[in-house]
Amino acid sequence: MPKLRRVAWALTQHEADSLDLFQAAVEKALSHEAGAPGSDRLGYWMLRIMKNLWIDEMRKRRRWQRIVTPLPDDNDPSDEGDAVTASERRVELARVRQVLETMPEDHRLPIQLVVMGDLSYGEAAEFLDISVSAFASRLARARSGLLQTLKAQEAS
Amino acid sequence: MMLGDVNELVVRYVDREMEEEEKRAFEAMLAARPELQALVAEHTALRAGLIEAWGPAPGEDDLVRIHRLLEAPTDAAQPLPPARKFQAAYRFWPVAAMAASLVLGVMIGGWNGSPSGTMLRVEKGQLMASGALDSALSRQVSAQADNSPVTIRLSFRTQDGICRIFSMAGGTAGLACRQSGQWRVQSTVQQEMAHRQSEYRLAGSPVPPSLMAQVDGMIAGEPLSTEDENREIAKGWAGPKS
Repeated sequence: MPKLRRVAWALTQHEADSLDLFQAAVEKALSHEAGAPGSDRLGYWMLRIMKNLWIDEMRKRRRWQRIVTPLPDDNDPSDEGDAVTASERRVELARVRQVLETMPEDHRLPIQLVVMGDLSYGEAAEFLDISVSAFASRLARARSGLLQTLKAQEAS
Repeated sequence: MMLGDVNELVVRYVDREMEEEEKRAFEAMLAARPELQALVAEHTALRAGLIEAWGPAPGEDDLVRIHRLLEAPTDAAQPLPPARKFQAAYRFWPVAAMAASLVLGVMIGGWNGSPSGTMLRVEKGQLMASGALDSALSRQVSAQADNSPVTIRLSFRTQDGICRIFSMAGGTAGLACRQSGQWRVQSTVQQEMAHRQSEYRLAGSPVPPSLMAQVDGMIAGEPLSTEDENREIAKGWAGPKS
């Protein structure tokens, strides 16, 4: 259960969204209890439910993406006098996030599942319905690509 | 020992996805190759950076709460509150309530001081677009935002027709569908306005969640592209299907 919660967070990033996703998955699982497999497969089954909910949600979000522009954040905490390095670090992290978010989904998801979601390759491969070896090479390509992009940005 | 793609090895090593034997072989190789050590360092830093960039992980108390909920004795189990569907609360007035009065149409016309007068009229109990709203629906393509009194946000096909989402300068957003050569306004939503430094802006996204949900339920296929829209504008939104 903690694992499922963690994956929800890895997928959505936002605390509130991840709780919603988690709760929706639990609800759906409870309402489809009859279809639940034995306890050894239960975790995968729940992950799958969550994946389908999330894919559905992403499809809807993409539809609206081109018209929904984020508003400037009124509560942006300013860090006057704060250590410069801390704010530099924040800029750096924002850049990492931004590059990740613009990656194609088949590269972004493996990273989210393993790094943020703390899933094993086996679990993540199951989640994505691909073999473990295919997952490992996709993840490696995605991570190398991300690293290259970040380095190229730094150099320019 | 067979070793595959270097990047894959490094990433698996950083992710601790190696069997003991393979790990030892890899570390032996690592010791002799400084460029590989650098790559491991980079990927280790990237991994840490990603986790940090993602922000704080869900708190423990949150999990404790969920556990308590799930482990509650069955007789005391309450149904979970409905999930929020990833949306903030919204207010939504169905068409019926709106169509009951022409006052709104007058108000919308008045707000913008538009020379074209009211943007809505009632015809046989149905709310129809008129004036600036009608011409925007017929002639404008979708846009992020512009300075005209009406902005078109999205166009899409349904099973049997074509519809567009619009928003007005006063904060009203709505859904209109083509019907017998006119735009029938199917629903409108008044969005909350936030007052800020003497300028009004929408408190949420330009399209309220209730409208998004409505479109999600009606849409057939993907939304129209700008080219599709231009084609429809050229032929006067004539047919239900092109």
